[in-house]
Amino acid sequence: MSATTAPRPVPLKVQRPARSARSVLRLGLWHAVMVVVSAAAVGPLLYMLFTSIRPQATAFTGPLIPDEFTAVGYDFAWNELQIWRNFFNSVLITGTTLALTIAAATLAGYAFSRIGFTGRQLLFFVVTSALFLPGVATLIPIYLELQSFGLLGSRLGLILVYTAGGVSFSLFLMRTFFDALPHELSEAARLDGASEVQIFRRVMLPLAAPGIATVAIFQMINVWNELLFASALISEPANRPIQPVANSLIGQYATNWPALTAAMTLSALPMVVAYVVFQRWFVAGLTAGAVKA
Amino acid sequence: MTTTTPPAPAARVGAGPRRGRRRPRPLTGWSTPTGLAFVAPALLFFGVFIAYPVLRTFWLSLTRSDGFGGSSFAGLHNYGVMLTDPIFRQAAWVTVVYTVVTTVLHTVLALALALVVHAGPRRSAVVYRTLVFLPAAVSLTVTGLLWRIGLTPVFGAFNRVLEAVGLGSLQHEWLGDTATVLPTIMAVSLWQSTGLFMLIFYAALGNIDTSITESARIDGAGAFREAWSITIPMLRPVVEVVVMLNVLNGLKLFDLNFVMSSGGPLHASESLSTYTYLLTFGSSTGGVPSYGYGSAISVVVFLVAGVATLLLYRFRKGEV
Repeated sequence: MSATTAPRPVPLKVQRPARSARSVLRLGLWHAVMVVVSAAAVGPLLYMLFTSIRPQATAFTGPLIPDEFTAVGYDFAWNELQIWRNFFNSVLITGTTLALTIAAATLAGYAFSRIGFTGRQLLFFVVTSALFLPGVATLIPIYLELQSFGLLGSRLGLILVYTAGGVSFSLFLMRTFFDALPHELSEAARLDGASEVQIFRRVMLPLAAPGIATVAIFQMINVWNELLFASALISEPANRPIQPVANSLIGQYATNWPALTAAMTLSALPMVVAYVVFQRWFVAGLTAGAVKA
Repeated sequence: MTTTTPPAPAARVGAGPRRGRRRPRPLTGWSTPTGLAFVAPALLFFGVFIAYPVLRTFWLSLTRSDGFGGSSFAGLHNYGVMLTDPIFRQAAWVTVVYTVVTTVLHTVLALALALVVHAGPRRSAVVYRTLVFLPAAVSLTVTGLLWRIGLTPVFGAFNRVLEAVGLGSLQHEWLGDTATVLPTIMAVSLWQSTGLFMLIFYAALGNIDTSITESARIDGAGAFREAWSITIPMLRPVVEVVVMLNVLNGLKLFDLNFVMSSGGPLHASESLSTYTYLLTFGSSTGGVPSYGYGSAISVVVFLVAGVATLLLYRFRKGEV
């Protein structure tokens, strides 16, 4: 206790004590535990990757780590099964949903944070109360609704549904972000005679870039990986995104493990890469969205 | 142009409360037309694809399909059906068991793992953290398919590994047995999601003021004691968030059991979401989708999730 109240000494360059045998042992043990845990996490993913690049003949009984490699599985999945269409659909659906969600959530998050208007509290409460909403609670009416709009089975319909599904969380995150930005800048802009729209576009929006990045990553992962609505709302294979297609392949090609795992790897790869590349924002989003919120 | 008294932070339901109350925030300006124009696009999406469908689910749950594409008002008929439907009861049971078990295991394991990862040298910790998280970057669909392949009797990697390490006698048709299908799905969920919650705890651990733990160490506290008496209590708000996320995810259970077992065998892994899907889009109803009954089940999921959120929220607030 006393250590916290005593005045902190100026940090000195303390000479690192020589490592005792005990601490070396502890470090070794820690690495051993971490290697085992990491192997359990990554092993199945490697199994998927290995199965996708081996010939069908060795898929069942060959060594788990293949000694023969081929791209036949990828070729079959991509060209014969035309997974490329579904991959492209996923890119299109995810990209468009992202753009719509970011636009709607940034505008609304800003207004809820900075602009006073009648009904502000009530609207914010109503919109964010959907955060707990289980998808299945809206599935049937959305199905019927898209049917009556003539959008059932279309990618546009799915895009609109995904945007609505992501808007509550995204605008909540954006509001948290705008709340944390300093007020001096917008005040200065106002004194210079800038309009509300100008303040938003010229001053606040550039500052909100990290918040937008966080929203984008979360929404991207959610949309790319979604299965329930994608399965229910689009039945035409050519229009489906990649997740439901990967799932339906196992019924038809249950024994073609190389092609199946190739399709699975293709559908998983973009998000794995995105995570590794955007790790920083993802972790920041978790802290902002889960810890502070 | 006046800065009016800003509202207290509203809408904490499901969003999770923020601990420290902020001091009142000055607004940039007061303008109802501008404000409404800014929120209009979000509200439009919300109204058309969230609010209206929720209300319509309630309405649909009170109707009965006539089998010719029309429907008629049926009062609480669907809710009555539910009471005597053994599949519904099974699905409710599966959903609750899955939610409770995965919430406890995810939270405890992820917290323990985060503490262990955090205890090591930072540079290596970041590498291990990334590796342990990787399964969470893979969709539940792919996860389910991967384990379905891996658990294939005889040829699947899981059984072959068992064989190789001399545990061949434990080989089992994990997904084909009503007794093991749900535990297997929960174990797979553990493999997929622990990394995500570990990451949340890990991020929070980085925010803990190190001077406190340092002083504890100076006072002679061991690593376990330090974790138990200092770190974990400080992480409590995060634990609560993780529990909340897990409960909500659990109640929604769809992807894993849909992909791995289609709710089977004999509905042993049927959840409320897959059952609703089956009733509405499956062939179980002989081509006549029972929107009414499916909606009634959706309403139950909706209410349970709502009540769980409120309870957790009250619990968190009450304990501050």
